[in-house]
Amino acid sequence: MKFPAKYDCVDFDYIEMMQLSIRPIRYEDREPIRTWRNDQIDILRQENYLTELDQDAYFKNNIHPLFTQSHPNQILVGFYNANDLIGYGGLVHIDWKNSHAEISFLLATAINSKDNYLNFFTSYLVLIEKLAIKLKLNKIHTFGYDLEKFRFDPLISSNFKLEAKLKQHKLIGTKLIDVLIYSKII
Amino acid sequence: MSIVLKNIDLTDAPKIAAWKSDPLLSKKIMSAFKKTSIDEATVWITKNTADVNQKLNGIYYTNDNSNCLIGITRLMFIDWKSKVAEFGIYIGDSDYTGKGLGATALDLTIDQAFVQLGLRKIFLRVAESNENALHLYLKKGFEIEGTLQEHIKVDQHFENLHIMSKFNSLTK
Repeated sequence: MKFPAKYDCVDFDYIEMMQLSIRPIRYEDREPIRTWRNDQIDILRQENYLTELDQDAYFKNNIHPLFTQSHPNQILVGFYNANDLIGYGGLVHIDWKNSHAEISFLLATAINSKDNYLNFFTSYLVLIEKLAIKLKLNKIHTFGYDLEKFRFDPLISSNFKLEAKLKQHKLIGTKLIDVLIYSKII
Repeated sequence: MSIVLKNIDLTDAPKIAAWKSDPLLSKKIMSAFKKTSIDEATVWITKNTADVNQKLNGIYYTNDNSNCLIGITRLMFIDWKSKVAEFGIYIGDSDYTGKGLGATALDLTIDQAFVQLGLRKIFLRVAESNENALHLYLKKGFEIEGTLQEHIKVDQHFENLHIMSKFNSLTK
């Protein structure tokens, strides 16, 4: 299987800044993404470890159809440093009626140090905002667990505002964690 | 007369279809408007009643002579591990609005969430401009946890949306 090079609903095959870029997700990205998601399951809204079969079925049945929909509920992208896939994400839970979407982002486990996270997520926010502007959205937001304060620094430096703190909203391990919603009107 | 919550009877599918096909009601409850047939409403009731991560209730108004569906409440996206759910409500039958029946249904759903289901927290979303609902939720012990700016579009302009929460005092 091969996914189309572009989504029908938005005219882009890459958005770049310096050597970094986002590009529509590819079918062949499914296995590295599966590995990253399983490695980092604690920070994701994912209850169970993904198998190869799960991931293949999700890519074929859920992601592939997004490319031809006029109003898909998510637009997933690969995140590249030059031609190396170093992460993925996109705009998810797209609410076309109310013109907003949630930002998704996951960095490859092998390079997911604190410094890399801060640098790459800051750049990624610039790229994903450009995609949101192409989609004519009014607002983008994130939904994150308040586990490590530094994870929110790129949002703050990119002029996202803390709009909600959902107290003791998620049980992770044995600890109740707050959920923080940061947003930006674009 | 009394208000009871119970599973929605499939014979009430025509009412659900009519409510879902009402653009004014959709706007009021911030739901995407979709003209809905009785068959589609039947499927909707069946599917949502069977959803293990949701509790869908019909609000039934009962007296000596009648037992009629006037609205729904829902506990949605139940996170059983965290014991958190999102609450939603509407009175679909306009003959029964403004009589405090929604407040009674809210009390019953809070009881269902905290006593029957053992949830720890419920939250809801309400438009900042919906002052009556906001006042009711504050009165019932919900607290505003955040206000999402320009989060819903009503008649071509954006409105803010509150997220409000209430903790189960038995488990907090």
